[in-house]
Amino acid sequence: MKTNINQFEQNGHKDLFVKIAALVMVFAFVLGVTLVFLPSSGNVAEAAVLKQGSTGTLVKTMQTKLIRWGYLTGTADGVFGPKTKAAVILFQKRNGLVADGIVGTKTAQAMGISLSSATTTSSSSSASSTDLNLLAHVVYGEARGEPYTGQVAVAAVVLNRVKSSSFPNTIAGVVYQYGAFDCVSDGQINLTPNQNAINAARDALNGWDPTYGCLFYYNPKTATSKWMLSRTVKLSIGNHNFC
Amino acid sequence: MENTNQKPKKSKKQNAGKWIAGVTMGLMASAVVGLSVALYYSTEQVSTHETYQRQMEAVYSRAYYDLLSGASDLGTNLRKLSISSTPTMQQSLLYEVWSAAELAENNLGVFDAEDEGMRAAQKFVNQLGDYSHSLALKVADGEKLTKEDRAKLRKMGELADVYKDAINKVSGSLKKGGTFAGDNSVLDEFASAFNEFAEPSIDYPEMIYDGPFSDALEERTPVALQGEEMTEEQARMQLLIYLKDRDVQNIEYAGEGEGDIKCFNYTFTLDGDRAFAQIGKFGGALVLLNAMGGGDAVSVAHVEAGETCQTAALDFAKRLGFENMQVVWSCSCHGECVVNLAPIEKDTILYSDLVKVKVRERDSKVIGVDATHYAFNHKKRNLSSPKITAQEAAKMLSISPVGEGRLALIPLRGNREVLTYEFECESDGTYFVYIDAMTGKEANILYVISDENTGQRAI
Repeated sequence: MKTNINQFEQNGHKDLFVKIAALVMVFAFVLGVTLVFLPSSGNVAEAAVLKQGSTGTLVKTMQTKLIRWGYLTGTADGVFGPKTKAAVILFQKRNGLVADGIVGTKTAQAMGISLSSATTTSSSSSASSTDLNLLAHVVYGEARGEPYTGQVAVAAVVLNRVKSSSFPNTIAGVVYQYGAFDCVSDGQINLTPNQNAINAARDALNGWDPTYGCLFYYNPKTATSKWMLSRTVKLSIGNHNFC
Repeated sequence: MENTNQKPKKSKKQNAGKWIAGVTMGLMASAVVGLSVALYYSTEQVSTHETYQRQMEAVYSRAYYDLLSGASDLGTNLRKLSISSTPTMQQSLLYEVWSAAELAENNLGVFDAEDEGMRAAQKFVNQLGDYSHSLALKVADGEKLTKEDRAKLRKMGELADVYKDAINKVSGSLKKGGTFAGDNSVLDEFASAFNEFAEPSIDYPEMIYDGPFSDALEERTPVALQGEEMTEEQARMQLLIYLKDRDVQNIEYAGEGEGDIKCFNYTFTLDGDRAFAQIGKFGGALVLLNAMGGGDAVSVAHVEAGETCQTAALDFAKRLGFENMQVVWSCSCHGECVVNLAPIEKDTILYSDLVKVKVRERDSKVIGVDATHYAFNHKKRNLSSPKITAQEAAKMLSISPVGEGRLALIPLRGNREVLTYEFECESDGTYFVYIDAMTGKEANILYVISDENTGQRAI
């Protein structure tokens, strides 16, 4: 019996091996065919160009830039006509590019526009998204029941602390400072923020600060700290006093 | 019959007894199993709790011992600085102090935020680092350390000793087996050691220098809000005039703002959305407006929306009394376009006096204004004429700019302002380079980042 089982197992392994080998061969074939017929990445980029006759949002973006830089006059209408072509040629001449009036990869790069639909990002961009995300979590955890401006104000207090010499100098440093925010102690910071909280955090990051530099806030109905209650209240919104 | 009748009774009793015994045994066995399981899990939990506590202790201890060794470095380097005579050595030591202060700031952040002494200690290390950084920049620029600078550095060195002693105070308890995490924690003792920093008796020098943590920035005057004092009713009327063609309902007075900018606060609905506005008590300017009104998940095509939003922002700014404004930046994100406007004086963009206007892309209606920078900074400036031309300034760039340079007054560290030429450059991304229009030196460089959640920003 044992031998039989082993034989069976060996047969099974063989079958499996044959199947895997067949699959690998098919996959390799498909991959090979795809690679043969797939145009190179350079070709893809070169294929997407803007030239006379092109229309659309991308043309408009390019025209807006050319107008701003003084190469083109008038308004950005999204149509690549002879005037736009002349402006592109002027731009290319002044920037040491081949002056053919066609916006290919190099000209687009010099203009700071992306010809592919993908938006350009950088490592620092993900950092700003992280800031927004963390700030939105604090807003939701601390003030989701508050009026919208009260939510912006809470986010602004976090950012004011970052700017203040008396607190840590990063958003995470301020948020996770021991005892600084209740939502960190009770875990509510881990709740998923809603759109309002995200918008409020974004407003604060964009500079809106209804508190004009406040570093603290408290709920006068529940606060017990004498020190906190003795501070001059600069603004009251919803359930929070800001100081 | 009796016997025959009794026998089954006895066997029933016996059966019942066996049954009860069986059930009892079963229950006892279950109890033993249950207790064993509970004991096992509680032991597990205690062990997990202890693991977490040990990990927390490790985090606190690392921060504490880094603080202690960093404090020694601060004092030593400040002493060396007080006798150093060459710029290279001074610069090197100043950078050492700056980096030690940054490390200290990070580690202090691990401890109690609500303790006043801790906050004062945090302020000390932040200002010391910032001040050293500012002096290092000054030395790099060819300037010499003044007598006052040296005196201030010596004073900061003395304070570094006080700071080090404060950190050391808890070491006695730690030697006796005290821990930061868990029962009988020394956290409170550690925090209270810094009380001396919060005492008014401490001889703390006034730290006025070119840096973001300078004392000069703590109390600011809104120089642009110097008009006549208004009553609450007048301010409310003024707000309604600013929003005259908009649907404003349920306007309510929400108290007075007592910060650096004295203002009247109002809540209301603007086109059906809840909104908040602040009207300056002196002069009646709209300092801040904010409504929830965008928030559309996807922004409409940026370029089309951008142009109409910019026009709407400029029109609204004009209505608010902000004259000669120009669009300097606009950023579109989640259905809202934030347009940055700056005043122009003598063909120069005044970046310090920015007014931000938030426009809803759907209908190009203004839903937010932030005129704080304008309120604090805008004044009639007697701008000097540049000493170099835009062409000369362009020669200082490492890559050729796109378009011509333009004059811009930009804010720098602290509350300094510098007249510069602004150049836009493209090289694997967009840069804005600012060349000092007097000296030809690079004053600042901004790099544009794009992000779907925060839009395009120059940082």
